[in-house]
Amino acid sequence: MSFWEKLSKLPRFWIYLGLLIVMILPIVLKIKAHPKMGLETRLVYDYIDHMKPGSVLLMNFTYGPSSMPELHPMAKAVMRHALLRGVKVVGMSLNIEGTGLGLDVFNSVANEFKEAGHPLQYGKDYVYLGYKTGYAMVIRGIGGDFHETFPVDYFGHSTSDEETMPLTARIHNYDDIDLVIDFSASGSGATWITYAYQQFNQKIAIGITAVMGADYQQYIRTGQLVGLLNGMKAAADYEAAVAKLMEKELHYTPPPYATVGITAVTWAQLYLILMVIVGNLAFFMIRKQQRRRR
Amino acid sequence: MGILHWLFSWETLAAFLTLAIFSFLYKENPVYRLAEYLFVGLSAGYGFAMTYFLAMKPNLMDPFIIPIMQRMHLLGGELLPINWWYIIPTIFALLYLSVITPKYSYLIRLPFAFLLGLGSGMAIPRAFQASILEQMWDTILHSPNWQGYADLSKQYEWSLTVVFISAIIIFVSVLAVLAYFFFSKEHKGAYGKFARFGIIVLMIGFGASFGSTVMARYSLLIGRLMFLLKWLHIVSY
Repeated sequence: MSFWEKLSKLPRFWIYLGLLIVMILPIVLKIKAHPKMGLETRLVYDYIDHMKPGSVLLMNFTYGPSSMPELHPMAKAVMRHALLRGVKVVGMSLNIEGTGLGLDVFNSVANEFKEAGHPLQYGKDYVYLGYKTGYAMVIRGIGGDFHETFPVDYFGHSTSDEETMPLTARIHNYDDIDLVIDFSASGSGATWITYAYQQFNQKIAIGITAVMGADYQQYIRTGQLVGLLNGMKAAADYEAAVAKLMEKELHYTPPPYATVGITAVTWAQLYLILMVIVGNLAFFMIRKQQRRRR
Repeated sequence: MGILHWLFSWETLAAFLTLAIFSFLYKENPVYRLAEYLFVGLSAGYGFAMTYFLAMKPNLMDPFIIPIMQRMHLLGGELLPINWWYIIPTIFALLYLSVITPKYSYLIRLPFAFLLGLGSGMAIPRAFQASILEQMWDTILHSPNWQGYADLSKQYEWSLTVVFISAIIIFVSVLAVLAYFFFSKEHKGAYGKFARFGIIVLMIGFGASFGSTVMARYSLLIGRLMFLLKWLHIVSY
């Protein structure tokens, strides 16, 4: 058996083991990527960066634990950025799985600001509304009457109480929301475009898993989206940029996640390309050897 | 004590279940099955509990069912007001259960018809506008507009020439893909070559999607690996 024949019959176990090593190394060695921010990500970053202090960002969480590695660090980075710019953040969820994950994003970012010596005030700086059933009806409902759609927040506080919840008390419909950003592992981005943008002309950005990236890029050209955060690459770009801002303005470094993860993704992609080349090479070499034997 | 605490923690259980699922890479085994069944059961239980407390309780039980039960002395506590309007959605919801009895199963058509009518009425015009008309406008009408080019050039930080070439590529590619799916004319000669270009464009699109999908799957694996390494105290993030 020639070298190429042995190589083509290499058990899958060794290929998986190689992949595992290639992925673990950058995580263990904490090799951070310094990616150049992509255009679609920069559009979202610039939009939030230029939002006036006091304006409102509505974050929607429509993803489950299976999409956490891509969307969770992305959502945290966006929330950190908004709060650094004095933008008020309201969170909600259109699916059950996303409810707890959204709460985790809000709690962990609030804790980071507390650790950095800039505690945030619930009800004034940020509010978490939680889950509301109805999907498209909820998106449409916010455009009609925000308080009717969300009479209470996740913890049961009245959203129209001006004393304890001044942030939500002043929101009546989309006119009072400057940007909606939907973090989704499903088609909810299209639902936001269909109802909130088409009917109410609401500015929308979306954060999605890389699987869905190609389906949403055309919405940027048409102006239906202000920008798009696509997969772990966008999460790493945004996380790195916001980490620099936090270090500069709050002297606090948030924990890296996507910036380390994207290095592992890059290494794994290179490994995959190498395997494809080697596999093809082995195939052609074996065919050549067989022809010679004949 | 530290090791025991670590060994009997929720993180250890999560790590065990993660490794149990990964064990499928070797071959199907009882540990994998256990983790799979546990996942399905827990997901169903969690989904039901969350649906009840976050959807059914505030939208049906609290405003309608519980106040009625209080008045029937089946439940105690401070009397809650009855919102009689909720009787309509409650009846509609109950009609879904009519499917259990063959005699009355036709009644399920009522809530179905209502939902389908409402959903279609709301979605079709706006989805058509959002996903077809706006995209057509961008491909056909927007592109020859010089101001549109200038705006895109500014947004993408590309030169006007690049934006112009990009617009032509998109326009020709869309026509070629449409030509490929136009089966009333035989794909022969110049038309056949144009349709062939259409399938190449489609393949490029599928290739880009596949590349992104692979990257997304790696990201998910990395998420689990980072969790396992954190569980083993090898990394701290």
